[in-house]
Amino acid sequence: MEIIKTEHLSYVYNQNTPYEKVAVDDLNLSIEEGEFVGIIGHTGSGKSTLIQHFNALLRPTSGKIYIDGQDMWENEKEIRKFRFQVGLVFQYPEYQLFEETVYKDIAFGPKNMGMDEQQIDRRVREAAGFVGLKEKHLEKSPFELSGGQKRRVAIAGVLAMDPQVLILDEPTAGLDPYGRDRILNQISLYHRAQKKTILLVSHSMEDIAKYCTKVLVMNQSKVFLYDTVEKVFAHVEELREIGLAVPQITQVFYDLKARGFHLNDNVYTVEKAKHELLQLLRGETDA
Amino acid sequence: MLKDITIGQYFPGNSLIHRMDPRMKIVLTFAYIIMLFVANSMFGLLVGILFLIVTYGISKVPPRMILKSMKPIVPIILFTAILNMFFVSGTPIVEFWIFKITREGISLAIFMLVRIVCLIAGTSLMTYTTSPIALTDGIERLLGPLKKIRFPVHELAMMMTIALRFIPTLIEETDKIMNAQKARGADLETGSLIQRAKALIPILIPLFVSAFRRADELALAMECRCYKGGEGRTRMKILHMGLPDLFAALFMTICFAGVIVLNILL
Amino acid sequence: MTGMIRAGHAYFTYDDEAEVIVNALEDVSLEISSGEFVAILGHNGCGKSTLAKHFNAIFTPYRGDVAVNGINTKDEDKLYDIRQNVGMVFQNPDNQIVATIVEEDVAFALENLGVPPKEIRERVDEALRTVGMYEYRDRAPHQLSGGQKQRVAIAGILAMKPQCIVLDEPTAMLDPKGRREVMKTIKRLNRDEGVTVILITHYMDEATQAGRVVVMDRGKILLDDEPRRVFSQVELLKDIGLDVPQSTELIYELRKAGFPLPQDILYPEECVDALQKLMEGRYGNH
Repeated sequence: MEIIKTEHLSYVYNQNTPYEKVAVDDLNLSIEEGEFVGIIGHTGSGKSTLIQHFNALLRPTSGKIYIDGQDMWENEKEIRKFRFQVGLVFQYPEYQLFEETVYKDIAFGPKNMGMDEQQIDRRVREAAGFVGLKEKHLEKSPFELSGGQKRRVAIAGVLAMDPQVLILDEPTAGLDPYGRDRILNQISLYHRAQKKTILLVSHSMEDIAKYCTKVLVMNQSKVFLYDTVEKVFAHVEELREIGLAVPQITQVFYDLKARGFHLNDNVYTVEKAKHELLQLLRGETDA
Repeated sequence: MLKDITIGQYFPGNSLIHRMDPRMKIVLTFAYIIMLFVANSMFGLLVGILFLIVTYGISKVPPRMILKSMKPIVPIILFTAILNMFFVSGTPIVEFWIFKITREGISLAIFMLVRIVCLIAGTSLMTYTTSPIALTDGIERLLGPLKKIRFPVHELAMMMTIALRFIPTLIEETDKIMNAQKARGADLETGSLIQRAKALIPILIPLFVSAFRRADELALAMECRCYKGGEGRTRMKILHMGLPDLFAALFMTICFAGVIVLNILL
Repeated sequence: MTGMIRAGHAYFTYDDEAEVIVNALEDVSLEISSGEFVAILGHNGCGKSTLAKHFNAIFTPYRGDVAVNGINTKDEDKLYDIRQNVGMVFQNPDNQIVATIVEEDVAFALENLGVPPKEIRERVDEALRTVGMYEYRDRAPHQLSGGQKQRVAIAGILAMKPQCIVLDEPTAMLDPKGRREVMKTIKRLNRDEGVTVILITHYMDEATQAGRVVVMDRGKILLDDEPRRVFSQVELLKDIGLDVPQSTELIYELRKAGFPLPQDILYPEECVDALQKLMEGRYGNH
């Protein structure tokens, strides 16, 4: 069943002024529960505006959004509940930490939900576990931690609300490969363990290929493609035309095919590429 | 949205007034304020209005901008006018309970009203036609002589420049932090005054932390670019007075003289 | 002239957030010649930024020496000579722009150095043209994109006419378009203007564009060679938490499986060529 659905969703910044700008244009999209969706697109393609809608931080200029079948803006007074249903982790989320201890900071969301101490405690410890924070970190000041740790605290702060949908806006920006892999692995584990829907905004095609089940490509305020990873990355030419790349390995396979080799279409990780080539090379040798 | 707030109220353009030396504009604005207070009759203020008509005309700043700058101080203007209307003794026109409105009161109220409006319109013209950085520059150089008595003129100007530079950045940042905390269910809109003040903590602390981090990094970047205070510093843009400045000064002098003459004659 | 920047057995320590002493640099010796394009690669906390800050005397080693053009960075009288010669660009484009107008910011360093106004004007315009931001000279910084801001910051350094520019993760906060802009600018500076470039990064694709790659780990220099040779050390790089290009990794894996492929593949085109050759060799016609 679809967890997020939009109907003719449009959003216009500064409507009726000379600075009017359409950021999301008549968007129809439905995302199934349990998917791990990678969102790609240029800066200004509308992807940031779109994800802020799912968290009710922006109200559509026109059109509708349904979360788990419920019309989001039907009853404006209850809009806050959608913020708990859909967790949004912003870019550089470590800059929003403010509490004296890591524990208190992670507890901020659950507290706002009106939970009792016991529930909060369970949620905080669970969330800390998901992002790989240790018990000893919880009583520390968040400002004492390293950059990568701070970011994991901030992500835990959203996980602690136990949202049905988790949206992450470039969660690995500015991290080194080790920090990046660590966070993405943990998110991936969380996805598998909790069966939650995850939306991941990223500029790295390699990361999306490695972790996601589906890809949403935004271009000029519209959905350019929304499909499985294999199918989206098969559109090498179209993606290049709008200035986006495919994973390097996909490009290599695409070029090899262009030179007349019969290769599988859906190669987008090194592992798969190796497997594919070994099969081909060894198969041919055996023959 | 917070981003919509504009800083200062610079109205970009390329008129003679825009191109004037900021020092001259600051000096003339002060002269204009003094003139308004020297004028003791409606006729004196008429000279002030004439000055505005001419300068706004040259500057090509649309007159509706005057209204815009007036908006925030409407309560003050009304308050002053009403105060004058009721509390000046003279020939009564209307009387009820303990209040009476006098003829003198009304004329004084109008006089004060016109004076304040002229004052705001005049000073606004300066900020409309001078970019904040030019203004800072002008102030720094006008205060230059104070360096001799060890007044930190350069440091002050530097601080103003950096503040101007970072206001948009911090506004954007506040917006981001607010959204981030809202996404965690922070309630910023409802509740009692105390609750609302408390709700600001999750916004203010990250904002301060970030401001300090920025200050740290900026200081390092400035050091790397050989910043060592005002000593031995040169400037790329040299201010110089030109013909427009001369004419402006002349026009001001004539107006001021007119006001004094009117004061003596009437 | 060779040996423009020379570090000899440099050691440096600092206290981290929890006040534990960290050996940020341990016996680092390095020589960088005029005109080189060197990438210093390593994960966060490996000491690469600390090393960079030694090149223009923000830090000085507690043991060993760092010299710029033969001047020891511990010589405080020559501090501004060193800083003018070795300019530095930082990660966050917002936190290094001082002025409210682009051209004023580019002029900042020259004003500090007491350069005559007319010459400042010329050098500012030239620097802005070099980074392709001349058209934006009277804009406010907050109206620019991240990549544009970073180019303004580079122009601000360039105006000092330094022999060397050190860039400390200049693209970490940028989107792919901004990253491309900045990389293009850096490469042009090195190639056309003859500026020595030291690029601190953890992006391997940026390091592959340099003429020389220095890999750091735990305050020490691990590898120092041309990119092809460095990236052929797939295991080692992965061990210290770095990436290798996918093409390099694929070839490495196939080599491990026993196929005769060249060791130093860096770019996708080379990978395609090598694979084509291999497969054609295997069974002639496909």
